[in-house]
Amino acid sequence: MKKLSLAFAVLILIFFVSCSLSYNEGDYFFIRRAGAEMPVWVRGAESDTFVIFLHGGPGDTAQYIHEFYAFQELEKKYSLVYWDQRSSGVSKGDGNSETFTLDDFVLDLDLLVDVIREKYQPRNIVLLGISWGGTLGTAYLADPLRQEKITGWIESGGGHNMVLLMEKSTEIVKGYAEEQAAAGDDGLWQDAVVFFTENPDPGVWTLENYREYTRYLYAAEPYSYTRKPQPGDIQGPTLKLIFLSPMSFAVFFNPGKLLPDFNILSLDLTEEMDSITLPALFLWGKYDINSPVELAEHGYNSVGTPPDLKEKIILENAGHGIFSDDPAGFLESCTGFIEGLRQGE
Amino acid sequence: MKIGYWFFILLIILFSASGFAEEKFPVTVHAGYFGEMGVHPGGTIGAGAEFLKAGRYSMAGEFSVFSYIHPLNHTAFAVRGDWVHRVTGKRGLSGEAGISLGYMHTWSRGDIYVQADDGTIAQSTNTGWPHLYTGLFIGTALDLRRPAAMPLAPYFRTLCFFEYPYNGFLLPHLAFELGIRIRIPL
Repeated sequence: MKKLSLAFAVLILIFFVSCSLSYNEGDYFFIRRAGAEMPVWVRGAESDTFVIFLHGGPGDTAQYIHEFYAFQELEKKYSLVYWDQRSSGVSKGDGNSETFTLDDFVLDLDLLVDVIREKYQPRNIVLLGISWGGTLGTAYLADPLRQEKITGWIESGGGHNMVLLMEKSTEIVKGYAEEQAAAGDDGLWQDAVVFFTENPDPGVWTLENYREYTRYLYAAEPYSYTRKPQPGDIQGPTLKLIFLSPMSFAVFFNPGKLLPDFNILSLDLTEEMDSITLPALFLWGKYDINSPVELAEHGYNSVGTPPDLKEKIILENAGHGIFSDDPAGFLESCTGFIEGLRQGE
Repeated sequence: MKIGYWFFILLIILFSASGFAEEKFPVTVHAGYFGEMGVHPGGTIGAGAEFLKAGRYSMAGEFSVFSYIHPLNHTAFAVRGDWVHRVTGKRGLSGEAGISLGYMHTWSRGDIYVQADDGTIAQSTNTGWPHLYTGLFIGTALDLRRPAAMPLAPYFRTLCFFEYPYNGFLLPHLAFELGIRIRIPL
C-alpha cells in the first residue's frame, strides 16, 4: 500500500511540476487565416520596438530560436516575435495545398503585423528574415502600403532572388565537388559531379533534385568556416526542447507536406525591390554557400532605399547559420541597425 | 491474405478459450495519469471487460476518456476503444499490447486572432480541430489479488498514437499512462 501511495504522490508531483514549468514566458497566441492556425510567441523586454523573426525553410520553425545566444541578448532589449508560418513548424490547419503560395504567406504576415500593431501599439516594427524568411520579407515589403507599417528590414542570408542564389550556390558546391572528385574521392563527390552533369539548370529542378543537392551542400559546408558558438548557445536538440517546449513531431512532418507543393527555386523579386525604400540591412556570412554573399550585394543594390539608410555587413566568420556561427557579430550588427532606427525617429 | 490469417488466429483463440471459461469475465474500471511526451499532463478514466480467456492469455475491450495539456501548444480531449491482448503470470504480473481507435479533439492553447470581414483584427472562437485517433500500446500490470488480496491492479502503458488529419497528415504522439485498475465484482 505504501508503494501505491508513493506512486500516486509521484504522479501528482509530475502533474503540478508540468503545469508550472517556466516555458510559459511571454505571450503566446495564434493567428488564423485561410485554413491555417499559426502560433506566435512574443518574448523579451517590454519595448517600443518589436522584431518579427521570419524563419527559413520554407517549413522550418521559430519555436526554438530564442534558445540561441544572439536572440537571448536581443530579447533583453526588444520584444521578439517568433511566428511559425503556415504548414511550418508546429502550425496546424487543413493542409490545403492551394494556400501554399507566396501571396498567402505574405497575407499571413500582414495579419501578424496588424495583430502586433493592434495588440501592442509598438513604435517600431522591424522584420528580420533569415534565408527563406528573406524572400518572404522582401515580397511583403514590395507593397508600399504594407511597407508603411514597418520601420526597418534586416535580410540575413536571404533568397530575394532564388535564381541568382541557386546559380551562385551550385557554382560553389559544384566546384568543391569537382575538386574532391579530382583528389580521388569516389563516393559522395563523384555522385555530386554526376548529379551536376545530369541536372545543370537549378531553375527546372524538382523537390527531389533539390533534396539531393542539399546532401552535397551540407557536406561542403564544414570546409568553409568553423563555428564559434558563445557560452550558453544551443548546440542541438535538448531535453528542454523535446519535452518542455511548444515543439511537437509536427516540426518534422509539416515541411514534408508543404514543400512538394511549394517550389520557390524560380522566385526572383528583383524588379519589385525598387519599391522598397525603408531602412535596410543586408547581413551575410562570408562563407554562406546556401545563399552566397553575392546576394547581399544584389539586395543592397536592388532596393530603392537611399544609400544613407541602407547597409551591407559581411561577417568574416560565418556561413548560412549566421546567428549561431558568429553570435556576437550578428548581435552587434542587428543591435546597431535597430538602435540607428530608434535614434532616427 | 492478411485478413484470412488474422481470422484463422482468432478462430484458434476462440476454440482454445472454450475450455477455460469457468471464471466470470471480470469487469474493471481504471483511472490514472496520462502524460503526452511524459510531462504534458493529463488524466484518463475508463472501463473494460475481459471477454475471452485462454489459460494465461486473455483478450479485453476497454473504453477510455482522456485529456491532456501540451502547454503553449494544445489541449486534447479524446475517447477511444482499446483491443487488449494480455498474458498474466503466476504472481499476477501481466504484459499487454493492443490497438486503439477513437475520436480526438484538440484546441490551440491561446487566443486566436483573425481579420474580421470589415478588415479589423478580432479574436475568434476557439472551436478546435477534430481528429481520428488511432494508436498502439504496450504495457504491464500487477494484479494485487495475488500478493495482497486487493481487487486492484496498478498498470503502466506506453502509447504511440496518431491524430489525423493534422495539416493533412498523420501526426504521431508518444505518451504514457500510469494508473490503477479496479476489479468490479459482478
